Amino acid sequence: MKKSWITSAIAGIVLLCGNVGAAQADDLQKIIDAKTVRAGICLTSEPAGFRDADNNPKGYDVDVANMLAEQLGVALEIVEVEGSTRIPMLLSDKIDVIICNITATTERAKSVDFSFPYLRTGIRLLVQKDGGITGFQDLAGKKVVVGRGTTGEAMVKQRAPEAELVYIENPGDAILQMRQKKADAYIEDSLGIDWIAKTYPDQLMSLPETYSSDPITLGIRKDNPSFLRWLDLFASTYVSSGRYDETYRKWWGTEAPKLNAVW
Amino acid sequence: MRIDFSPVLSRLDYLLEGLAVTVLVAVAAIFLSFALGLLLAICRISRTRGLRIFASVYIDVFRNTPFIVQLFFLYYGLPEIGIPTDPMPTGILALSLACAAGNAEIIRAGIETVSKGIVDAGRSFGMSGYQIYRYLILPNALRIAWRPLGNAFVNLVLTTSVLSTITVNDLAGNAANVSAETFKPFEVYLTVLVTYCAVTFTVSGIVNSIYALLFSRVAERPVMRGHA
Repeated sequence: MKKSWITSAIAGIVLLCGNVGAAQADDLQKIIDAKTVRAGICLTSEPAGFRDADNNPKGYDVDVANMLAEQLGVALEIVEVEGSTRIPMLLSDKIDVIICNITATTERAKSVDFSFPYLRTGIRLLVQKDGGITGFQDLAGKKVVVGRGTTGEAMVKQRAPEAELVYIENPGDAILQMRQKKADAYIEDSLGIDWIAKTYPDQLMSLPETYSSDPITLGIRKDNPSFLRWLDLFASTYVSSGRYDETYRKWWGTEAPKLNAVW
Repeated sequence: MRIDFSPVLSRLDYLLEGLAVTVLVAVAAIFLSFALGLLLAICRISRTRGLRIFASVYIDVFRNTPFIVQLFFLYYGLPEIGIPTDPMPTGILALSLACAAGNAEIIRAGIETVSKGIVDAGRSFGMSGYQIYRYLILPNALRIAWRPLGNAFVNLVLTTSVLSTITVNDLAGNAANVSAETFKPFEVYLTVLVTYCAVTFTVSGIVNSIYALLFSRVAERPVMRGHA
């Protein structure tokens, strides 16, 4: 008698677990149910994402995150991430979506799913004005600042293997490295580089060439087809409605790089 | 999630390069922080008031501020007033300065356990102040202080990982690169945790061997047994 009670209890637990597994929703439904979307945003690279004088998150990515939450009809929770932590944070379920200036690459797409692009950029080199560097061919033996695991790091390793890599934790450190002449060059996307060059025009300049054409996208965990499809629609209407041009101009003051609305 | 160590193994040489930097930095900082700590401890209980004040202020400042802030102050702060800094030397210096404060307190506590009777005995034999320190006080004080110092050294080894924030390519820094590159944080950091353990166990082992070699005999000498 007792035995059969235990058996049925175990059977019940197993059934319950099975049910939970089967009912596990797509992240889209989970976010709507939780009434909150947790967006992982980088806040150390003005004007894409930064904190203003009152410590409030501001910038292009924050604007996009706000539109995203508004259209989902949920509250926005901003979780600060860094270039090196954004994917681990996503995979360990600390955030629902990466809105951190992330370039969609085939390598990253093995672990993360990417939406249609909501921004376009390209890799550029920031150099000391008096350093005489004109491109990758001059980087051998020079100190080049890179972010850990970034597209720029991979490019320097490939195109200037003799360069000495200087790893920094956030773009703020890169500015110090360059301003204090600890390093000769800094490689990042044009968004960050152009802003730094604009801020320190006497000492630093960005080289004119753009070495890549990178789609900046929203990144989410794999196996979330409906959330991914929702984000694709979100990104393409963001572009087609003209909000892309508007938001870009607000933060960089120039015309936005061309982006096709694919939906 | 599938556990797969092969990306870690394929970057093992790079992680070992980082380990070499960690060991180099740790060894240099252990020696420097020990020497500096010893000097500070002696200053701290010196009869000269100026030295005493200097040592207490130094120890208080370094023990009551976070290491990472000291590190950034030295590395990024000093260049703003015209003192250029390089990551490795700055890192070793920052670690030595910070850990010297803790070491000084440990050594001072060791010195204070040495009985006044021993010092008086030395004086009555006509020993100089230096001789009393060198042959009577320090062997006893260091014997008492050695194991707590060993703990401090282990802590120092672990703290070297903070240097990756000022672009030192140490084990923690290279691990972060491999993790960001392979998207295998679990495998990478597990490997690195085990490696740090191996380093600290080695340090503990060396500390214990030095104790056995130098101090176990000190304790046997009747005159050193302390409290008269």
